[in-house]
Amino acid sequence: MKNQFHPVVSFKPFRLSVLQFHHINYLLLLLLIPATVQSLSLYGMYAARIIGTAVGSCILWDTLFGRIFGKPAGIYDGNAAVTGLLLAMLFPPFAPWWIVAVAAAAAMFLGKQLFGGTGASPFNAVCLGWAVVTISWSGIMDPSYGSVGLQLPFSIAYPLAELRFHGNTILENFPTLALLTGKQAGYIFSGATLSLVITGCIGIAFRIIPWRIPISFLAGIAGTACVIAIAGLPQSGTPLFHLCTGLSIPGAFFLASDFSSRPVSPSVMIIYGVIAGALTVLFRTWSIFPEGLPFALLVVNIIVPLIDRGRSRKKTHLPEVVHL
Amino acid sequence: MITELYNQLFKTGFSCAILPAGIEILPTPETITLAIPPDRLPTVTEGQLVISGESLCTPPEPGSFSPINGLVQSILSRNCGAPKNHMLVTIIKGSGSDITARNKRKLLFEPSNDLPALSSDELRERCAACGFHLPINNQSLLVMMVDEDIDRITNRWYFENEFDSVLTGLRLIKRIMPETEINIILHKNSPAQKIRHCSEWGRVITLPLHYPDVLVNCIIQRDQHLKKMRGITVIGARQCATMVTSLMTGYAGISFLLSFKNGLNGASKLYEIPIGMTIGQFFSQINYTPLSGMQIIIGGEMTGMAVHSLSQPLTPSADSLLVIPPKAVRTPCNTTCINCGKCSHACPAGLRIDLIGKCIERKLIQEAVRLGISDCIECGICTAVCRVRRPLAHLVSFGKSLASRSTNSGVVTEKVKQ
Repeated sequence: MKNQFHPVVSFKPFRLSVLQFHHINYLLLLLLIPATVQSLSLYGMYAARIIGTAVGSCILWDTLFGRIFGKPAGIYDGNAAVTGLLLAMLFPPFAPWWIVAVAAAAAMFLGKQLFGGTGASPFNAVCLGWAVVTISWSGIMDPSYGSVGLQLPFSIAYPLAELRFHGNTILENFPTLALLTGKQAGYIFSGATLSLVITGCIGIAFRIIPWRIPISFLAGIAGTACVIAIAGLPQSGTPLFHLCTGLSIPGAFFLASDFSSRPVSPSVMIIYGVIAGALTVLFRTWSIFPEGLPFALLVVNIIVPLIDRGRSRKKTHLPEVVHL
Repeated sequence: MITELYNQLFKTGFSCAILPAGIEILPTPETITLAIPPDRLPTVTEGQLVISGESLCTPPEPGSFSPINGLVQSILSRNCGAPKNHMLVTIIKGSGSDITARNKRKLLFEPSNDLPALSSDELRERCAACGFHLPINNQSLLVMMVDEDIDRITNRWYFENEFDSVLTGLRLIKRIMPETEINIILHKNSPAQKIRHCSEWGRVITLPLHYPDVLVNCIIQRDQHLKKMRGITVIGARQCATMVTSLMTGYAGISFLLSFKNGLNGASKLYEIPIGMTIGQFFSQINYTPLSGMQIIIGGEMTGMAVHSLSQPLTPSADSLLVIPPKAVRTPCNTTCINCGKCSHACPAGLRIDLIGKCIERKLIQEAVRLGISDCIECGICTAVCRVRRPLAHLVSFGKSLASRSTNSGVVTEKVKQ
């Protein structure tokens, strides 16, 4: 009897987290479902092709590179699927399947496996994949004319491209409420802005997305847009415009809060968000790309290991012991 | 492990001032420490049962009557910080109310059928768990029973109190290992009654020396009979007495409160159990069947200790027992960090556990020390919130041991000499 009894002996503590990494990834997928449904209803098969190719090729590339690098497959914890769905957010509707596959390969290889697997990359894998493809095939990835030929209930022009080319006069064509409820074209998830805000807030409530990152990111965007508007540039746009167009909302809630590339200390998160938001607006105004958000995130990811070094919080203050 | 258990058996702390004039009772009276003036001699020994009202020294002194029933934990001599030349006797409080002068004598004097009804294997196991390794059969046992002081008062004290416990110990050994040959070393000037009593138990060797234990080898070489023995176990008389008392405390009813919690989210109940009861016996008493693959934890779920066998005895330092059924057992895994930062947010010392864990995994001890592993209190909250169940608390404690061993880690570990 004594020989048969084997208790499990492990090191303390014995109560471990019930919520694990794969639960978080599945929750993120759930949070992105309303936006996915909206984009599918708007763009139909084009969106379905991009989403399917993105998720599928991310999983396949992750398994392949994982085998090469000797890492366990990340598909079981949902990491590849989440990266694929977020990557699908960043394509215009007419993007061919091979561009999506190349972006997925770049995201999985350069942005994840090369640095050591899940959680090891200092760069946001999604932004890295997008950046590789945008620089290489900028014509195809250009959202300005990405929706030409589609029958949409609203203007098919990408708002930020319109702003770049025509200046502040076009702002009355894009009222804020219309932008928020999704009457903007460009990327396939552009029509799902409000649902992304709502699900992003649900993610904050579940503590998956730290609240400091979206708030500081949006504050950075708004602040820099304010400064530029006050400076009187003809193509500045209003802060509200910058907040609602393009990738601001999905970037703030889902791209900037990627686990492996975001900072850990709460105070550093605020600096990270503000700098990323400022760089976004700067890239949108002065770079050759109409949507500079992923580039801004990549640039600020470079400085995160430098600034994210301090203590995570103040030491808990214990009551003073009175010595008799 | 075993010495740790032995220490736990007698673990307590001195927390009252010692005055020769009176007794200071602690607010939570688990232990009481009394002082014996230098011109008196103690009548008790370590591990001995005392009953309320018993005098602890001879001749009796007004401040040295034990107010409680209990077990003598330790007797410290004059070198241990007491007021000049006093001896400090610490008594662990027992709740056995059925110890009276009469049945205490009974416990120590009666023949072996009054001993606890355990098989010799169980007795041997219990002894080993308390730190006493009984000699293997067909070896010779050498019992050192010589005191420092040889004057008449000492011998009388020795004869009356401790000797009985020693005899019970010898009786126990005889019962467990009938073929053991017992040799007893006594001082030449011991009273004749003592020598006679001892010779009923084994061969008596008398020596004119005060400290024969340092000359054990000499004794063995000189004695023709001992030289022929295959192997000899040397045991002190006090050890013999303490061993039997520690076994008997379960029998004599010294008990403590144990809180038993079934499952991480289960209800807990209080039990009063005798000191030394093993976990297996406790489970059979409360009709609980242990399943293979469960975790039995002495202490709480964050800072407790998992036990590896059911024969571990329970002592007063084990305040609670927690069992986790096999399905709810979660152990840390060897995974890579996903940089969510939950551990650092949860650390009460504000340390960057995510960075520290990574440094220690890559053996960058200097960097880990710079990040502050000395501040870690090993509460285990970081491991409890980790999303991928990394063994963070274990990593930090491992890092601390690596840091103390390496010379260039920046950590100065001072060796504290006895």
